[in-house]
Amino acid sequence: MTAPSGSAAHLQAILPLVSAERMAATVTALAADDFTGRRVGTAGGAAARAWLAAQLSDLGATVNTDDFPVRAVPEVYAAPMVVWGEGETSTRLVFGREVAVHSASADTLKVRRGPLGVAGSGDPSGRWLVVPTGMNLSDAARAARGAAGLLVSRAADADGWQYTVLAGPDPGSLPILTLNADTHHAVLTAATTGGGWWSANTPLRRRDVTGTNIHARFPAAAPGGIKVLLTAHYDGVGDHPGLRQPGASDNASGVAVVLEAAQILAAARPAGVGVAVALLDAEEVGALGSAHHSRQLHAGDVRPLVINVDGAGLLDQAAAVEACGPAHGLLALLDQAGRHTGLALAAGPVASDNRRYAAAGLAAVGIGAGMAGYHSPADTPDRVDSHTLEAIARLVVATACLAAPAPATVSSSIGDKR
Amino acid sequence: MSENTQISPATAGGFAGDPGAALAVTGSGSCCGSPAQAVGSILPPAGQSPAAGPCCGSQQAAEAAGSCCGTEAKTEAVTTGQGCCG
Repeated sequence: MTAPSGSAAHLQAILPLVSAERMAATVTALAADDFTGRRVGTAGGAAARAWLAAQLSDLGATVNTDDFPVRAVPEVYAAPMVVWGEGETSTRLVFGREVAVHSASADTLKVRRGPLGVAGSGDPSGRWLVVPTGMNLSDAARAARGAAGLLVSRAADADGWQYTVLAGPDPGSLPILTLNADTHHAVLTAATTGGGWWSANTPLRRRDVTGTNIHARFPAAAPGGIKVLLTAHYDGVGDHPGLRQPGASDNASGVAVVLEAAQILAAARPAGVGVAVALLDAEEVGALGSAHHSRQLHAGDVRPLVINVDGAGLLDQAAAVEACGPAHGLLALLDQAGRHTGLALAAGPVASDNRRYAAAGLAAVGIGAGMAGYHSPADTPDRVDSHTLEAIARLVVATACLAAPAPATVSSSIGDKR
Repeated sequence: MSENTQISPATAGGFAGDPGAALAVTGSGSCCGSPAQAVGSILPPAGQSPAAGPCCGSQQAAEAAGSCCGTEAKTEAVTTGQGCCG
């Protein structure tokens, strides 16, 4: 590269190096069966981590991993057996679509059968209680002494899935199942008319596991340079028994963008910019990997500019940007990079690891560009848009490059205090 | 991640308005973020108060639970499919 680092000419030279094909291949690899959806503490998560560490090493980075404890990660360890009926008829419900295990459910492997009832009405003993829409679950649980369990309504997504959520309340003492709207309506009707029975188990356990972040360091910036930390979480909500949940958009796509940006920057990094990568674990259980890492940075008084990518799957008009911490200058760089690459940006929530870094006092932005099939079996590689991958990777590369001359050439109209 | 992120309107590149709006995004001031959105939905405009977060409940309830969210509020958030953190 002969153009000055961070200049328009330099960007013109390196942005064409971004490869959508390479990123699509990364997404496909991370979404593969072997990695089982990459839930924290699983063999699939470990396999994905080993693969990612090798990828980073191949880019010439110094790679290390860092462990931290993660408590009570929910795991559906068997597909629930759920059958209900009225009179002579019976219906077996489809796990993931018509019925799912509530994350606050007690763990019961043994099937319980009992008559249907309505929560808050009549004697609950031995009954599966349907919680009417609008009734508070805590109120229902208080009125369910001796009940077999609770049945609550839950909205399904556009693909008909009850998507998985790992971060949630502590388990209660009752089995709890969630039903899609149609099933809930039918079962509530049966319970209200005094008929119907329900037979089900709720095989949901909690495991204390170890989360592991992956860190990659490239050659440091020249003295006085800017440190840029590129982050993305590589964990997913994980497969259920009989249900693959590949986690392609969330967040194999973000990891692919970060790897691609790191590859480009490793080869054509401006001298004034130091680049590091953190691929984070345990985001799906409450952003614990970034919480762990941000504490370390804070303790070491290391203050990089943090660019986090979560969801680069399906751009619709503009990429969302959320900023926190002393991020005025970083936002100005991002704005300039967006204008240079032609990517529209808009303020929008990116509830992800960027918030942990910001809470530690770092300049941090989260970038999100949409996703299909959120936390469900429908989050597959074919639904990750290659143009979106390319647009976000170009944005990240440009932002990092523009950081090099920032003190001299980039000013912010929004209160940059850097 | 806790939600889908798609915004309008489009611009030729960069922020259409004040980039500083990204510092006042709905939910970013709370611990739990915004509710998970249906894919393709348009998110609420930036700058709305995060006080009505989906699962934090009251500060007192959160402190009593030793968490960023009150126990009951957290349970309700998950029940309604909104997701929660911490």
